[in-house]
Amino acid sequence: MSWLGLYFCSSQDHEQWPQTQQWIARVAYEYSDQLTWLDQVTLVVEIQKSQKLYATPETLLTHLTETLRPLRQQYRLGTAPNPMAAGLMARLGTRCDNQASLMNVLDHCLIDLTPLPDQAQKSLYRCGIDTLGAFNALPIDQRVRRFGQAINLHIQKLYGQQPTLIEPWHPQDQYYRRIDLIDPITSKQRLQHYLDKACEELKSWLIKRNQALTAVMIRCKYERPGSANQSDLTFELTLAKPSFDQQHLKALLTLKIDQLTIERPINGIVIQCESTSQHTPSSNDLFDRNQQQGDWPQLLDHLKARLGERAMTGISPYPHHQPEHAWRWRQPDQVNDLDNAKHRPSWLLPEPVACHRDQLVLKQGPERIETGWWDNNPCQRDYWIAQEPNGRTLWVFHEHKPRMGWFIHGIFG
Amino acid sequence: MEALQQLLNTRTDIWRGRVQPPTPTVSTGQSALDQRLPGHGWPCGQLIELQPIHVGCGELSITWPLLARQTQRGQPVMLISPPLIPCPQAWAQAGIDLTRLWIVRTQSHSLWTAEHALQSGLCGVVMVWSNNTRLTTTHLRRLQLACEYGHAPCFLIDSDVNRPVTTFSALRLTIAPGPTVTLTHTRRAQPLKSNTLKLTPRTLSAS
Repeated sequence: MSWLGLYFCSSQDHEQWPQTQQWIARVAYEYSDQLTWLDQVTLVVEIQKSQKLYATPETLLTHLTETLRPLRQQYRLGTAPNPMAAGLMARLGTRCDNQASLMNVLDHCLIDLTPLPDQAQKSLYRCGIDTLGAFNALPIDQRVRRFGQAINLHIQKLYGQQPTLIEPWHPQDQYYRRIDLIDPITSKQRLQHYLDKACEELKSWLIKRNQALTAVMIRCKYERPGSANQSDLTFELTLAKPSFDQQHLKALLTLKIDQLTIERPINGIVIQCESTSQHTPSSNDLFDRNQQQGDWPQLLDHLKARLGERAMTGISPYPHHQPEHAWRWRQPDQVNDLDNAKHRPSWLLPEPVACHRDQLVLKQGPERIETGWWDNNPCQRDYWIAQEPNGRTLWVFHEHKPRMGWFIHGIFG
Repeated sequence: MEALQQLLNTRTDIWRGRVQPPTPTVSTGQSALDQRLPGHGWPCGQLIELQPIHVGCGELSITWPLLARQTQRGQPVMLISPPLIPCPQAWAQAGIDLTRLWIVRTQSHSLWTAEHALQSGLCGVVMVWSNNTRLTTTHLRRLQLACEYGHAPCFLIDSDVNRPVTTFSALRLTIAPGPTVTLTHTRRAQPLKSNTLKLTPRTLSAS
């Protein structure tokens, strides 16, 4: 076993640190699934398994340093054969690749350099023990009796005499990313730039969790909140088919951003997403005839991103006795079956329009509709197929209740 | 030579001087109309302008058979900004599979939507209503170019009397109640003879 420790030395008291911790852990997760935060500022990662991938430990370290560069954090690296010691070696900035060299370093390590609590350090000093080596030289029963089991166990773990149980870190189940901006955004180009970067991160998160994206919610916080109802700029993207295609997502975001108006400077962006593990990876089979079917959801997403979620719809018959209520906007995969086979016009007017009887030639009818007598909402009509003077065929009705008169309701196109 | 001719006829993208390769067509589903149209059907991957004198005076009765056939084959049909509400009962009775019928409810982006839907090459038929958009030659040209990406005929329905005279579409038909269909533009060099056809309900049902 070989462990890598990272010790972050710059002051970590600001509120963004938990976010940054998550980010660092996600980066480290690329190298190993065995990693944990020993304390607030010390991360240890098991690197033995990934050393085959990187010819030497140096290559791995160079890679890691390169990925951590945008963080602009000061940190020290250290390696050791066990996780506890790796944490300490990171504090010291020392690399011990085998047990012998670790023993050597630990024996000479001053007590006040260890992460032991102040109280423990004081009691050790009072007994004249200033290095870990001096402590280790004492007989084991004395160590426990004089300094307590906790201190003894901690130091034994450092030496690798006792195993260290770690609870491995895992990426969070829900993607949540908050970007705080020092320089507020006023232009769409910059918003696009930040979201593009977030897309890349989102994609790597999805791949690691083996998830496919179904929806993204984005909230842009304005610098100075306005009135309560327009405090934030929020928008949502839903995908017709779960995917982790970054290019597609970027294209959709571009369309969405195009529709937005940035009223005031934005100083924070929050990105959340919904994802699913129920997805089928896209096949790039040369002989797959159904390839085009896979592109259809993408086309829908594309159109919805520009036109709005509700603009793309199908139409379905709906069982209702009044013809103006006998249909619903509904997604095409959810349409009802046809309930009856009465003759209906191809076009319906959104609302029946009053007309004059004397301009119409009645051709066929009447079809009487008499409903609503049971709930005091009576409706009594006679539907006719009629012809206008210009030759167009209309669907008209003569209403007796609740109002009197002739109305056009549809057109036979 | 015969074989070469046949091979060349399958390609529409090879320039062959004056010899115009025949545009592939699909039957309108009405033999009377088929006989009048160049190529005996709706041209595939081309723009077709329909100009009804009033909304609903026959533009659907001439296109329904094609829509029904395409939806039954599982190909999506897109209606972009129709002026009224398509009555689902009537459309289903005409044989149209409503699970393949997409309606785009937009006023300002209808031509953009049409262009994207056509460029994807995924739709069986695209029908666009221009409504109050004033069409220009550029609009028609862009739509025609988008049509060429796929196999779908695109119907552009507009009743604007001030429409541009020059057009890039394959066909332009005026529709009067009846429906009476008049072919006012084709890509043929010769002027059309007897270009008006009255489609009575009898001819429609007989086909």
